[in-house]
Amino acid sequence: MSAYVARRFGQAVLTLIVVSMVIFLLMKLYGGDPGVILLGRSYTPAKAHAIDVALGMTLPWPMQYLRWLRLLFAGGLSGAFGTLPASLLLLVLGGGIGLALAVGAASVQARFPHSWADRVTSALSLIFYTFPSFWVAGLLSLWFVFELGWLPMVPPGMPGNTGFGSWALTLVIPVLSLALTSVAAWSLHLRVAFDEAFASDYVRTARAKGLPERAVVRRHVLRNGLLPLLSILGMSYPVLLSNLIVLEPYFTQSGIGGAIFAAIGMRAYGSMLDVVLVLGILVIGANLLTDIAIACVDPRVRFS
Amino acid sequence: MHLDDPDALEAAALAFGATRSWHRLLRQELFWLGVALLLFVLLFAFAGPEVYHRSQDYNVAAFLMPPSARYPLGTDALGRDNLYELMLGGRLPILTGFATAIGATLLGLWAGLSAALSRSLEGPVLRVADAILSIPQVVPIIIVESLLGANVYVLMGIVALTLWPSTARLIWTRAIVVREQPYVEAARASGAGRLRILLRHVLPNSFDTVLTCFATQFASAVLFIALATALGVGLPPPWNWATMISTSLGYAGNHDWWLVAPPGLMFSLLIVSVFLVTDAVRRAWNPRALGGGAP
Repeated sequence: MSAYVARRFGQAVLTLIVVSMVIFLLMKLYGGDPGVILLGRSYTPAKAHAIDVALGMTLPWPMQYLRWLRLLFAGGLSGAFGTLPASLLLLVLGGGIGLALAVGAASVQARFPHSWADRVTSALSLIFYTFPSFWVAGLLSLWFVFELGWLPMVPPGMPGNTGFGSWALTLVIPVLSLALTSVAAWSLHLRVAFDEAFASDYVRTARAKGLPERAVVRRHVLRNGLLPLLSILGMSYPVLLSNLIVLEPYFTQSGIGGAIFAAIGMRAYGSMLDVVLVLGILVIGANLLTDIAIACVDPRVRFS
Repeated sequence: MHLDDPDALEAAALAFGATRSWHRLLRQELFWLGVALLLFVLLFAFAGPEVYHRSQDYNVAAFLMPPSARYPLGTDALGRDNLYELMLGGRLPILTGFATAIGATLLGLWAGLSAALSRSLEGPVLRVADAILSIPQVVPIIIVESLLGANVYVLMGIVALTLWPSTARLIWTRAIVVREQPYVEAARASGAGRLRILLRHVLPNSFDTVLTCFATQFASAVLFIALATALGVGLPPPWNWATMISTSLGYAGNHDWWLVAPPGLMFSLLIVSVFLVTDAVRRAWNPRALGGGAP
């Protein structure tokens, strides 16, 4: 097991280095000239050169790359990494609630096929799959914020919205829209896994030995569905993160998506690429954790 | 017709099977529902603005009006007729969605089949596909559209390049099953070339997978282009459903549900209609799927 984790960790670090080099290259090519950006109308070649020297832009590229990485990490949570906690929270909450809904829907669908519950949950999850996530968020806020007034109108940290309670309430809409638009993809795959489990010999044996149906579902079907669940989770980070990046600007400015949106608006491509690297670390880290979890559940993976 | 001629027999069987498939297709109620919805959306976006022609000029006297007899879907913040905008706003999402999905499906089909039929390409194609599958789709769009300059054709290209791996993976999974079938082995033993096996056996037997892939690629293409548009790096404003949603969210404090709700519902109608049509065709040509299965 530890050999597998070490190998997988090494791969992740290698991927991260390649990704960071690509982003650094993009930054050098498209990040803009700091002299022009900082000096504006008082630009002279001499002043620009002084700025380049001060920022280390005259160093060879490999040195600049290392310097960029050092500054990025030295900034800690006050720099680009500060966008991580807010996004991570939304991702975990939205993904977790979506997964719980998907497991519930898929087990109902597999246990009572062709029932009205099967039809309603399938149709609902499919319809939410076809909605743009930011539109679901828009409709929810129209209804719960402006029509009913149950949720706060101002973003957290602004006047009239301080304290934990109102901060937590502002998470409701992005989390719900993230969860609802992801249910379909997950429940479709899970349903297939559950159908297979219900048709399997071990479930027939469990029923034959007189195990109550609830115990059959919990001990045999759900437990065997854990593995497909993990691999589906691994496949769906990209879509979840895409939705998250687009939802954040509307609800909180402090996450990865909020920072990217703000940087696009200001054409601050350098700081946008910093945040993209943080996003890359998030993706690679999430994939690493998923793979380790799969290896824990399934011994075949770690011995292959 | 000589019935002892194997080619003629095969042609007759094919013709018979094909008519059976058409019958199965035309008998499905969900197929007709899908066709009706798709026709409605297409006519709404492409013929609608010609029939229901309104001015696009600002009209400050009638801004943010709720639906009425004069304005069936109300007006926007600049006093323009929202129904007319909704019709015009469908053109770009529909065209870019179909073009991107066709491109992504063809690319994925080509990559998946080459991976299944060539041992030397198998590893590299699958590894590249897996790498692309782990990137959040919006990120390459953001990088390319903001750094290299925005352009609808570049947008479609980059979305297709992020979407093909899921098709390639599914086609590959299907094709490696088909390539081990006895009839493919028989064809190979009787001297059929790689291209003939591909065209006569692997492709027809992967038809249902291709259709399913196209439907999901279409949904992904439309929705990811919409996401990018909401971030400001996608389709050009003003007339497309995604921009209409994101601008109306900006002044949603006015309870203007008639601006927020319709564009999102149109997205859903468009995608659901394509799902219904492709699923009906898939079921008609693969009767084993008729009994049920995932929607």
